[in-house]
Amino acid sequence: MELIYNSEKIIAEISKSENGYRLSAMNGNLDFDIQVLSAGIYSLMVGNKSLKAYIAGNGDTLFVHIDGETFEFGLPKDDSDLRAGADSATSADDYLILPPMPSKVVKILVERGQKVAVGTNLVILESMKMENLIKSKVDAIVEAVNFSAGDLVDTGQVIIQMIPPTKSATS
Amino acid sequence: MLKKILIANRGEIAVRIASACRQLGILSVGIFSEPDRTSKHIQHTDEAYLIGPAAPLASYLNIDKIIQTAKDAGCDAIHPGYGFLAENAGFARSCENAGIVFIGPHSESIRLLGSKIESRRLAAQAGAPIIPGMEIIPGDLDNSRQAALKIGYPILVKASAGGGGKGMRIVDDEGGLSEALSSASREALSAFGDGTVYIEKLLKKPRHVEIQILADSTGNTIYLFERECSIQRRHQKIVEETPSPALNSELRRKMGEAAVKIAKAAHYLNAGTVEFLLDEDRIFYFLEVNTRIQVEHPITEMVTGIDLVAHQIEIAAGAKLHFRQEDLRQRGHAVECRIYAEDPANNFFPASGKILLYSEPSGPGLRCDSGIYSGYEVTVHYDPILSKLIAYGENRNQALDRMSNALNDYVLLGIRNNIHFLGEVINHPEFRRGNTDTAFLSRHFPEYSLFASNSTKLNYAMAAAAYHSGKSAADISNKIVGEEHPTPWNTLGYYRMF
Repeated sequence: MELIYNSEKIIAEISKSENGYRLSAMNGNLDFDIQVLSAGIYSLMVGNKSLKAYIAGNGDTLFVHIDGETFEFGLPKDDSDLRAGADSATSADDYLILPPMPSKVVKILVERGQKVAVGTNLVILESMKMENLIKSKVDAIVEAVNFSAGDLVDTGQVIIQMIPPTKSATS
Repeated sequence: MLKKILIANRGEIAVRIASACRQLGILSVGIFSEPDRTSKHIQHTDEAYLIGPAAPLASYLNIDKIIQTAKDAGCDAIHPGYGFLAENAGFARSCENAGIVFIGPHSESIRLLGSKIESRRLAAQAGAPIIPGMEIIPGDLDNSRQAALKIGYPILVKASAGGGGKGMRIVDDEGGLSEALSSASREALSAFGDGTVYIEKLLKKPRHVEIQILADSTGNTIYLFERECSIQRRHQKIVEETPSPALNSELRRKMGEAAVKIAKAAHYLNAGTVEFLLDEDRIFYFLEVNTRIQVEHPITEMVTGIDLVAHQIEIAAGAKLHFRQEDLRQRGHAVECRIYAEDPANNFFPASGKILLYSEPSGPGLRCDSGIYSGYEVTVHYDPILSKLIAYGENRNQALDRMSNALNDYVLLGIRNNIHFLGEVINHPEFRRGNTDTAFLSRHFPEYSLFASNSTKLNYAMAAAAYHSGKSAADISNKIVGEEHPTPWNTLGYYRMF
């Protein structure tokens, strides 16, 4: 199966082996035995090392708790969801400002046509009684401001649209 | 004794109060907003009433509706918990006027101590040292600018009606003053219904050390020692412990006696907390009084053996405290971690969503006060606190070791949370040495990544994930032969019936 971990696609296949199962992953093989304890709860044995695993998924993400750590694995819907590797360059998403969670717009700090730099304050959002200042991750020009103070925005809604500055402007 | 108590709150503290009611043989009445129909506190109260839509102003802050509900349900008292209306003098007065016992201090004490400006004046009169700052409410920006210059940057902008870090901003220089004042004021208005802010000097490397007090109606006022709450993010505590590694018995007694003096000056009744800042030179300054039960009250309960919530109810019913200051002892060490739905890798931004799988740790010296369960939906409407994990030990190291193991065993899948982050704090060498101050997290954890560096563990997780997915999607089932679900028929072995 394919999993996404830390923005990277990883392949994890398991097959039946002599004494249990074998995981074939990119960084090697792992032989293990596994037993279902109850829904989403497993006993995992690697040699004589004994671990308890808790697993639950919501369709997009598979959460695995093991040995004091929780791993979040992205589940790819299809290959177009995947970006090749972890790109450190600016991504197209950085030009679209979306709320990290449903929020209220407290104040819009930029206007249409304004030039912004990395770190420019864009918008103040409020959620769960906390104010959160959203800053620009890129140098850009504000193309559209779709909400104003007092509006409620849901995840997925674009608050501010920006476009890359023109080449001539940056050189 | 009281017969029926309305709990004007939600989440873990409402569950805690409901359990105290049951223990005392008092009926409990819960209230809930529309999205809170499935909230855990409603499963723990004897009765439950819908009081309005999600927005706090229409539900948990709706004074008239709450008082009417208490009357309709035949309640003789209201417990406000913490947050919401807990420190609202108007609410306490409305209870008094309606003939309902408010489980807390008199409305006049709340008003006096709830104003940070008036409480500072009162503390100074009672002989407690106070932090240099404004004693008057700044009228306009020019006023604040001049006052800030006089005090000297860096300064702190604080909400007069505030608490829990809301409406608070650090300002390093004059350039940031204007935006900090307006944004703190907005946040204060939204959280407390009062946008008044003031400024004070920011102390260097201060520890947050607070004193728990209890006062009965005869004026017997005692202190139940300290809690150190220096580990904070966004000016909100996330780890608390008692005793404080910074106090010796003499300083403890001095701070305790100062707290009692302030409480007596305010004619204080019931449980309260006097907060101090302790600077590098072990000089303490009065900060504020919280006129309610604190989030972190369980650690005091662990080391003193005193049930604070039960005593709140008994004091409200008119009972006298049956112990004196000299009867109290601090025994062992207790630490609390607050479990929040938030992302430590993204500036602790609140998270919401469904809890898919939940399992609380257990073992010697552990207590978990929680407001959640498997399948519970964490909404965006309220404070993102989910639960509190408390560990007790014979000494600090044992308490911290127990906490560390308990955090490892704490399973909360489905939403981002701070459990693993708290484990890193508890095991940080400087925390273990007791070298804490309120800037601890920003100094030692400027960056935090959710992604493990340990590839062995990652392999274990992938093995379990691949097996789990293969089982549910059956897409690799052809590779797995002889797979059987255990049933009682093949696990019980030989048995016979009697």
